[in-house]
Amino acid sequence: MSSISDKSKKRLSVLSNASDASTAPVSVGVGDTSKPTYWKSLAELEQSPEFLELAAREFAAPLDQEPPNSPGRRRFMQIMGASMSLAGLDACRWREDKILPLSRRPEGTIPGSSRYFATAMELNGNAVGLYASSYDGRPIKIEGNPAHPDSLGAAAAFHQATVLGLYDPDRSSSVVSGAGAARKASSWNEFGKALGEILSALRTSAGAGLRVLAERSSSPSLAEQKRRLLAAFPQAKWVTFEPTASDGPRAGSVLAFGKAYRSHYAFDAAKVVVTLDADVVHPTFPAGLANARTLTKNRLPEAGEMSRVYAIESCVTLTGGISDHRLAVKATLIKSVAAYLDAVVSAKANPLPEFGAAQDKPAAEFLKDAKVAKFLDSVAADLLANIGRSVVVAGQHQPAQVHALVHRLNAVLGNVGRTVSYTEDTGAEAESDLAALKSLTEELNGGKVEALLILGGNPVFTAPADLAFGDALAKAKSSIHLSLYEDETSLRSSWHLPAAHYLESWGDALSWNGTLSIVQPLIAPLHGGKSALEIVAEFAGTPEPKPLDLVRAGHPELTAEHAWRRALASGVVDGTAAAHAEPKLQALGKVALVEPELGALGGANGKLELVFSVDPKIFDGRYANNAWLQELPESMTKLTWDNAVMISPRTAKELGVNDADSITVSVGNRQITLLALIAPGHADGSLRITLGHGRTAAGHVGGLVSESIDPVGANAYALRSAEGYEIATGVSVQSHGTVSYRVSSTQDIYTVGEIGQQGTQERLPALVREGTLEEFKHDPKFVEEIVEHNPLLSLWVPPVSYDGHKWGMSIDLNKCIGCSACVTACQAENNIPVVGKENVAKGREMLWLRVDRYYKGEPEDAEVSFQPIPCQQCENAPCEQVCPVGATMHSSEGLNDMVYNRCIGTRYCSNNCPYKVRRFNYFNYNLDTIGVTPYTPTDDPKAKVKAMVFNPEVTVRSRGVMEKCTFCVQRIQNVKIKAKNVKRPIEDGEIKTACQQTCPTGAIVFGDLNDGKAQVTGLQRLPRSYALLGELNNKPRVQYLARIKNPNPALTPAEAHAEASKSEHG
Amino acid sequence: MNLFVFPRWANKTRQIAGVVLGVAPIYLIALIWYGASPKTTDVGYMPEQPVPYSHALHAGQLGIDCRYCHNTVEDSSHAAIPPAQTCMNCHSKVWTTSPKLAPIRESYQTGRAVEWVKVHDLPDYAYFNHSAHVTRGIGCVSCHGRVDQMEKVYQHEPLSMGWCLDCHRNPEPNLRPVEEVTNMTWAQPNPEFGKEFREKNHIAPPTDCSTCHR
Repeated sequence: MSSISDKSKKRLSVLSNASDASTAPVSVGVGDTSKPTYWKSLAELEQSPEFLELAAREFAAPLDQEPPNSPGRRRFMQIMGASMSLAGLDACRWREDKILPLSRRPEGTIPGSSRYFATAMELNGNAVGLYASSYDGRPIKIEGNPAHPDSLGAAAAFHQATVLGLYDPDRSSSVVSGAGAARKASSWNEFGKALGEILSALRTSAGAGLRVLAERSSSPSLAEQKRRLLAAFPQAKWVTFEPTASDGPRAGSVLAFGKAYRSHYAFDAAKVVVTLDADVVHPTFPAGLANARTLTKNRLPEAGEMSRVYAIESCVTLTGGISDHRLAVKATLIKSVAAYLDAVVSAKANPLPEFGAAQDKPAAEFLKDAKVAKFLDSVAADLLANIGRSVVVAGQHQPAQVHALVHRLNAVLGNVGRTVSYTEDTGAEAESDLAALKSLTEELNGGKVEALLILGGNPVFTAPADLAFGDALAKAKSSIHLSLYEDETSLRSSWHLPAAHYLESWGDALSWNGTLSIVQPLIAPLHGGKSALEIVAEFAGTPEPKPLDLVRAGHPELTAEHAWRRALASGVVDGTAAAHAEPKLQALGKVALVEPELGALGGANGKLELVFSVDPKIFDGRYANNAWLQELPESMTKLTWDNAVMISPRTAKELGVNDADSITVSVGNRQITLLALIAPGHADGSLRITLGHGRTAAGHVGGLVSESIDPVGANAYALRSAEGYEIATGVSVQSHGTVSYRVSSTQDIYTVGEIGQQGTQERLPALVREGTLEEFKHDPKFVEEIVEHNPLLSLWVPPVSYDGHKWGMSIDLNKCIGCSACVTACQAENNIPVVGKENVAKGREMLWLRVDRYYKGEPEDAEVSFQPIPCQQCENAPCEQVCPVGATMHSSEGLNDMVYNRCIGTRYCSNNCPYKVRRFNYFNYNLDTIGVTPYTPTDDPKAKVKAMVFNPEVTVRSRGVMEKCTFCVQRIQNVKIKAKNVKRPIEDGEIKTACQQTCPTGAIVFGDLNDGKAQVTGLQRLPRSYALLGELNNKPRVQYLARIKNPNPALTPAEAHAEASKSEHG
Repeated sequence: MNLFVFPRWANKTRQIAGVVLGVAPIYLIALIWYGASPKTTDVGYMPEQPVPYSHALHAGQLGIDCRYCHNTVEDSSHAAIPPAQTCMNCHSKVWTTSPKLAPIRESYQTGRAVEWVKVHDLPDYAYFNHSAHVTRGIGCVSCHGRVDQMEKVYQHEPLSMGWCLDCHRNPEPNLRPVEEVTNMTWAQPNPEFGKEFREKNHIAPPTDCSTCHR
């Protein structure tokens, strides 16, 4: 081995020569006698200028650096003595990390911890109050605001996924002028100049050529600016258009009460709930999150009594999933159903004379069906037996007459003021959105529009196809589109303005019942965007509007600083809920029923109906570029990255359509070709398609035709016309055989064959345990007895006793509605990557939590059950026993720890897991989708923006590593440490896993099983509680509460009665 | 048939070849054992900082407590590097025009961060929480060494997982009263101190994986 090289010797001699009193190292320290013959840093070895400068520093310090007392280093040198190899190995250190502290730290900010801020997000004019968690100044997680009436602490999948949308690199970052091929980057300054010219031209005609096309908004500040705008330009018009908003509720209310009112439901006070094609628990339904909570609150068998839910609907909705009885009826027939119910109920309920005469029983074909008649009669009987304690709800897309009939039913049944209440809909327009858009299009085509300001939305994509809004738009002299992305509308507008995300904006919004929330930004606009409020204020004449001032000016009651701060801190302004109204029901007269509404169940090709519904994940298309939402398995079909037309099994057979076929759906002279899925429980003769897919200019995720990125799914708007806007009739279908691609559904969609299906049916009762209220009351222990097994013995010595914390979870299947908000919350909290369509099709999805959906019964009449499955955190975990490297170990608190850095990717653990809850990173998903990891620094701004969505509290996994649900161990640890620091115990409910936190119904409960008073302990002790595959002796910490339904004895088949009586003697 | 025929001189090298082949694996193992050990690669790491801040002066000579600047250490996982504002608390009055403090003044005025180089750099998959240690009686000096004598901060301890576990499995030698956490020269008064302190305060450092790995 070479000794110290001559070169180094020279350097060291230079060092010793340069030594003077100030630089001579003096050994100080406990027992240290090392001599300074070796260098302390590379800088010293290389005699870098910085080192030399340090060596000759400003003021003499008595103490110099004492070299570290490191035997390892000395020993190594003695063995090796090769200074160059030393240098080489010393460079075997990872890339240096920088710490960038704030220059001025705001008071109370602790770097590296998150703070919650209250804000709100508006969708379709209704705000849901949220808490946004900000980590080091960037929002990374959304939660619900418990104080907000439409959230009650919950947040839907949309809300959870908005953080990804905030950091979407496809968001537009500059003003663009010109349309189509003439587009070029511009700036706010240039827009300002152009705007000045446009406005001065408009002033001469008092704004006769100015039109504003806006999304529905309840924002009082925006309303104020709108008023100012219309005052400045009296001839201008403001058009509201929401593609997913139906006019049925408004028009129905006008029919019934003479004015527009909003309905509010107190499902927890109801004993009978009847929904007519209404998905009341879905987040897109007004106050849907709150409805989910109240509807399931009254369905706990332990209370002795349960409500009964009847769902009469055209497809299986989430409400239908948790209902006790379902009747699948075409959407066009619902009107006759409502009329029938009115006829039967009014006959017995003695309605007040001023309500007018009841409807006659419709002479409809389908009502002659014995099953249907029996169903409806039982419903009516149940309603009549529970006067004042029932709720009837009409679906959003049902026509006005259905809504009016339902108002009448609720009034006749005495529900008003008890389970149903009304508030005035002060913001309602005089005409439907569609009518307003039609007149705007006519004006555009007539050349009457000089300036069209489009605030948000994407009308070129979402307007009914027959309006040809895109062509009409081109006829406006200047069109200005404010939006987050350069989407289909922006491409055809003469100006595109980047919008500010709601997490970047000041604003305000009202909940469904009128409660005011202030929207506050958590981060400055990343791309220089502006909110609609600012743009309208600018149009109205404010030179450089400041959104904060605009919002504060709009709320004189919050001028006092403490009131303002309280509103910001709590997220709601107390006392702003609209007052209860008491509308007077008018006589409805005879509701006209025309041919399709009097038809039979089912329908022939050419006479089918097509129901357009808002997509439960990407809404009206605005979230098409949101990868989390695209990859979220849809509740019923578990379909990802696609949309499909849903057909019932019987109709599919009649039409010759097989599951996962490619079919062409034709409405009039418009047609599209897309995937068809057979949906058990779907109404015969009805097709359902979700809107929002098939975007051509969404972005790199959702479809960008200009860069050869195929659109995701098929565009259903292309089938929509002004006639048959909600429900199209006279639809025909043609099958083309199997689709050319592999359908990416996370639950098997292909038929398993008869024997396989039989086996599934045999096994499922043990996995998804269900029963009726009668069975439960008779013998609460029936849940345990569903599975018989031998006494469970363990091969190992009884495990360590869990004396400290004993984490456990209970999932109530009675409450789970299958909305999958928990899945997206988990993804947001734990940095779960997106894998894309192909990989999902191969079964390589990465979502830690999955919600299984099972059908029960006959395909034509299926019942649906949901079961969320996280890692069961088994005490006797099969996965821990087979890991060759000990990457998954059991903690002393019962958690199954996953240590990513130790995992070598044998996947034996996943092989051994009976629940299949482990996910493997087959590729470097995070690197590939985000483009940055800690080890590959990047200057790519797009990658940096995307990386901002990561939660720093959780490791970002690389390729070859197994991952799984950890019970949000980062949340557990943070609360434990916080509590221990101040020596206080942890309260029950202080630690909420992400899934638990966002669940609208509170189905998931996490806590300490060693705490006798914890909610989870009580739930796990219930007789309804069971462990999934408990007979394997895994001892899972997650237990499920069996699903108990409350069927109507009049509707349960006689065999079921015989079964029940058999078990009595059994 | 072509056999590889060793040249004749290779006969003389057979013995040496044997020795080399026997010693080479031992050499390589030792090289990596010691060379790649955190004690070699990490201990003594003393990177250049943008500002020649001397802990020896401020913490040692002037006696400023660690927590004056690293004020989040009792509440948070990070003992945060202080903002330029903290430096300006004094340096708006003292050494106000020193060129060494120029980056601090610039940061304070422009709002851009000073790019400090992280010395005690744990891997990203290891989550260390300062408050859990500082509030229970582990002194700063136990992991960071005599910072009050460092002109330029260097890493004194390997901070490897094995090193952490050594203390987690046997914390007694490293315990001190919470008031003495920032005292760099405090020593345990008697051999029984650790045991008594541990029992009195129910110190039970966890050794579960999820303690640090999430």
